Amino acid sequence: MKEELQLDLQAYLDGELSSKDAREVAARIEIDPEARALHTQMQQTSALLKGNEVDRRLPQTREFFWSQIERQISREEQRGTTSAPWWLEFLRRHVGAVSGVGVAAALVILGAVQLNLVSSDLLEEIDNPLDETTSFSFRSESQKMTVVWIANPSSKKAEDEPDPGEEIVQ
Amino acid sequence: MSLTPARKSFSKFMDLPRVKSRLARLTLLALIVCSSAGVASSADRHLEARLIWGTNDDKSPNPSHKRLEGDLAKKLQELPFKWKSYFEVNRQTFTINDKEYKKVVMSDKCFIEVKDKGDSKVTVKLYGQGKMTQRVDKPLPKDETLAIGGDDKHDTAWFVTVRPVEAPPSKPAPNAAAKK
Amino acid sequence: MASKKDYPSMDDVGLFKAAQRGDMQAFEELVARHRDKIYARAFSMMRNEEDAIDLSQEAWVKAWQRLKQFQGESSFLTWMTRIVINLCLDQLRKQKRQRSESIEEMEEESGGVERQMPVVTPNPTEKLERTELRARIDRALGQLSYEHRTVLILHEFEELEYKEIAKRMQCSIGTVMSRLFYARRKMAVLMASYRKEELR
Repeated sequence: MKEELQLDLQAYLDGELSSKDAREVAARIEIDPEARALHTQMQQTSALLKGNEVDRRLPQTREFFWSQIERQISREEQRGTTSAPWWLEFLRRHVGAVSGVGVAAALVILGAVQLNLVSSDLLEEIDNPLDETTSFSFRSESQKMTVVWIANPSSKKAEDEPDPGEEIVQ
Repeated sequence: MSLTPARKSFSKFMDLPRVKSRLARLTLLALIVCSSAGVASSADRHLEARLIWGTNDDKSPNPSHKRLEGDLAKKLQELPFKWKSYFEVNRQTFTINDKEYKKVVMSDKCFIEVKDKGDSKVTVKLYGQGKMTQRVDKPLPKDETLAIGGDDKHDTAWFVTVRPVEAPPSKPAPNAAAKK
Repeated sequence: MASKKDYPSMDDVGLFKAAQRGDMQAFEELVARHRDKIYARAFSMMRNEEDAIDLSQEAWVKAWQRLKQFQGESSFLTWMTRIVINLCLDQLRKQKRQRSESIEEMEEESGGVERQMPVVTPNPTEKLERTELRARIDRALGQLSYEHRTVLILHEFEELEYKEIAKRMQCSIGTVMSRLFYARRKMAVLMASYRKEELR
């Protein structure tokens, strides 16, 4: 069965199709036994899942759990700010200390990011296949540029681990 | 057999003697379309990748590095990075499609693979020393730039930038040239 | 002398309005009331007790900081659940993904193995104790990759639409659909395999 039909059957089950498309898929289910079987399977899997999540209890007493939260809230309030988001830590390390304008610009740019003024159409999906690196991204709306920064937190690197920065620039 | 209005228009458009074989007509039409100047496959996108080095030194130790200029230099300068100077190490322009990854070698140790994902989205995979270090799926419309970067030795940085560019001008077709 | 409030008998709306005015005891009552559900949601996504505890604590701290932003457009529990889900998604993105997961995603996108598998229907007549069924479902969820598990949780348990899931997972609607399809098929196959194991 073609992938498109499989996904259409799913979308039909989930009520995500327009009425016209839904009618077409319904008609297909009527005449196509394979489509009907797949639709039934997805329907039954979905029905099995609904309302059948395992109940879990937090493995800490009410008092202990609350004490942790209360302590953290007090800490944050004493600090006077919310905990620094990753982009602020990145700025602290990589922004030029002399450029007050640069810092101000950074705050404007990143403030826009933080306020979700960036269109979700421009969001990216990032995959970090290596265990020893981490990455984060930020976007400048004014420069229409997204920067994905790869950081290697460990100072010592294994010999067989590639360092994308090492000797890339010769 | 009298010509239908559609066939009349087609014949007039072709401005060619009527060809009896249908297959020959279609082949001829395909050749004309493909040879027309400036027509690119709708599946191909044109991109540019650059390997850039960021430093606080005024000069690069490698004489082959050119100081980065133009709008990309301006963009990087406008970002709140600490590096004063940017040098272009390598630049490549290439086309991508949605069928397969295009490998673009940026240096001896680094290459990228890029593929069109449709809806102006691209996938960029960055490889360092043969291993994939990053994969980014991102919408990349016109005027948008993707930069993947990281720290390099001695407090410098490297960047690989990818952005759409205009299709390079193609050579004029013999037919078009002859008509002129 | 201020009258002592009967927090346990107050509804969520009353409690969060009091908390918005700075009443920490009211907030503590909300925590006590909903902590298990928030923890359960974090655990279902992270599959790790320590991470789930940390993230659910963080979610409560964030909720306290953002109380004034909450206008009652949804239930308090729904709002809290969204906060913990977003924290879990952020954490999952930061965590190192194993190479096999990214390859799995690529395989799935190109039409992976499960797409070619025959249809497996969970036996609707099999009478399972609810706890047993839930245990099987939980076990199967634990065997999915984080992306497939997340999309399944967001769709089947949180009842979010594709568009909303795509926004939260920062991917396209097409990717959501592919992942959901794969996750559902995989769940059906896993549930059927557990049954076979038990019958042996």
